[in-house]
Amino acid sequence: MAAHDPPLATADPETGTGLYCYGVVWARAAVDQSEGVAGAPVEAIRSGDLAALVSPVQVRKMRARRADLLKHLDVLTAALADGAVLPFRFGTTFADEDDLVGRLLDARRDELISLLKEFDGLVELSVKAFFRGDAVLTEIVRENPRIARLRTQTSQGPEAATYGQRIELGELVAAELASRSAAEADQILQRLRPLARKVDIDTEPVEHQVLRAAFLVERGGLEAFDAAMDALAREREGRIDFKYLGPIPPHSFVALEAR
Amino acid sequence: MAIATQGTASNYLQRAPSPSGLADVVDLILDKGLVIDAYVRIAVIGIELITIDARIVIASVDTYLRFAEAVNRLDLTQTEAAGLAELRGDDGGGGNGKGQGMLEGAKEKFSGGAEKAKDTAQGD
Repeated sequence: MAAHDPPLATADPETGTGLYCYGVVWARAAVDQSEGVAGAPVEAIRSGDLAALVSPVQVRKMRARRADLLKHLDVLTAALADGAVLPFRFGTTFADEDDLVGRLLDARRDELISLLKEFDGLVELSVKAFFRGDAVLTEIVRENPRIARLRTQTSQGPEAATYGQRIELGELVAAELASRSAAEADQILQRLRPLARKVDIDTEPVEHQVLRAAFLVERGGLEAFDAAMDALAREREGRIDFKYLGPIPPHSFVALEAR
Repeated sequence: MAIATQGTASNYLQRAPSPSGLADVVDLILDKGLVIDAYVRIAVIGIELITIDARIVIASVDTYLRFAEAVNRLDLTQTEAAGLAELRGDDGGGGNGKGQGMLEGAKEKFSGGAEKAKDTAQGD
């Protein structure tokens, strides 16, 4: 790749073609698929016990389209039915087969094999929980006299006159939301942690979000996890909404040592 | 993506096999998964903006004013009964008013960002 082309992915410098890499699987479990990113077929490139799932793409022309993002995960999730999958982040490409084998499968062979063994039989489940807006705000107003009082005060009179009070009200509500969210997240995690090998909690705040976490779970433990999620959602009906996704490959748990 | 539905008694919350929206995929595959150093990824500039859009900064004056407005908009009389039940410690799952204006607002912002990024990303 030309040194003056930093924003472009690895590709053959003359043709601009490359291999888009979805992830790494056991060679014996690698299965071709008919459609991946950019409409290209998904093929397995094998080296010893390892295989990379790839699609031939015109790297220079490729853009991250919505359909391609969804395809990336679809391809990996489909592969998960055949065995352990080490998922790559979206957008990783290699110039050609030699480049891929040389710099990935051969160069990182021991690490990849040990990761495949480590994640054998394990899948990721994604859980997101959100406060339902008005329900939680109603709770907050009812249970906080100071907030209730400020609410009454700011609901009358011109906006300009209540600016300071409205800021104070909003600040108090934000603080309440944060502490309620933390308390709910603790309760949810207490129930789910014992059912998972590992938990990865995303702490970047999102408004009204109670929890965003990934759970590494044994395939055999899916049913128990489903039951726990179902119970959690029922108990919080009307107050907290859940998004529950999986099983997907262990995106949140795989990593290669930096070199 | 499957969200809690008032469905059958056996399954209240369904696990979704695949994400329904771009936002959920972005969380998973742009920030997470294996990376090999020295490999530059293809251009995902438009898409990365979504995650930033979606993560509203909580501690700002604008946010406070928005919260204040949302609290002022609440119609507490509509949820009186359920609210009282909650105060008594009933675990009847009540407490939900009909509206959910604030969350919908956030969702709109979210999907709006996704649409924008989609448009950017699809321009060939």
